[in-house]
Amino acid sequence: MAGSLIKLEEVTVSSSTASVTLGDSDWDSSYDVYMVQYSNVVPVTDNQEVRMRFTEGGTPNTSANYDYAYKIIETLAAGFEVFPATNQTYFRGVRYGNNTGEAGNATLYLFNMNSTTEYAFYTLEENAYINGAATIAGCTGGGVLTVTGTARDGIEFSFPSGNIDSGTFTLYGLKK
Amino acid sequence: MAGNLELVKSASGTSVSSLSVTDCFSADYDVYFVEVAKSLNSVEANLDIRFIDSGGSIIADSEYDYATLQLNSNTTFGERQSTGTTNISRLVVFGGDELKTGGTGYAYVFNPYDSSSYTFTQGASQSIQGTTFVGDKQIGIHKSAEQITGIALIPSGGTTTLTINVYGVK
Repeated sequence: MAGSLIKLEEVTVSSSTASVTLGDSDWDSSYDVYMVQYSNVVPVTDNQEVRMRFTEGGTPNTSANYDYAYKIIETLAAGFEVFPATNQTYFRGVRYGNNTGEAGNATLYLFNMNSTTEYAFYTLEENAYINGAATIAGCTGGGVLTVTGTARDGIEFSFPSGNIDSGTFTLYGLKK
Repeated sequence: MAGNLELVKSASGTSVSSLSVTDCFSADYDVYFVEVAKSLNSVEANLDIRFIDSGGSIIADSEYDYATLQLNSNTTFGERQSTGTTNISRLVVFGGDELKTGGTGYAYVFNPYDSSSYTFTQGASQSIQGTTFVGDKQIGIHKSAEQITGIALIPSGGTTTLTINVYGVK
């Protein structure tokens, strides 16, 4: 796999920030598939899930057209959870905390982003440590934005309540 | 702003009970991609992860948690999870010598060199068990804030023949 990832943008959050958008002016539409990776993401407010929206012209699409299906794999003895949803206004992962050691990491692949006639898909592989529950947990699965007509040019990350305290977010194109 | 997967270090072993890649993690990268193109075990066994500390010692303390989702092609999926264990299970699932296929897999390793954070893994692997395809999704953590400088892969039984490639994600 060497030589196939081209870094397009990296954003490091080191002070409280409402949201991070990858792409927009740094978007390069010459790729079919994009990889996004974030690491050490911590919310200012405890117990918040990362919310993700595709952008169009740099603006997040906030319509209720996000469907996703995940399995949450975790170390809790209660077992893994099935986590489907339709007609949401965002993609999401598990909830992150802000106590000692807590952070979230993930790898996403984005598909059909530059098409105006096809839905945009994504896959999510996530791993977060949740101190209060003494568990690691993460979504594995994917989702779709069921909208056509406008090409997508990025992805926005935020929390439902409070800001992003820290984390590094990176966008790559997969060389054809 | 071009970047890449940059090969940091490789290691190979033949019929070994453990294979270490030392000094492959540094301050140069936050995220690493560890790839095993093929591991061929002497018996049906997983290839598990332990990390190596800044003194060069393999960490075998009960400081690891993991959860895996086993995806079988012919039956229901299986869920495995454990806390306070001595390794992260399954960088590669099974990988026995049936059909001489072995197993393949990868894991991203997050923040290993940061002495103030835990080290996380996230990966996937696949192999043949008997004649059945088996896939596996894995997440894990080394739950001690310390500097990690290397990785060791250890078969859960028997010996293994493999090559490990460690890339920095730039």
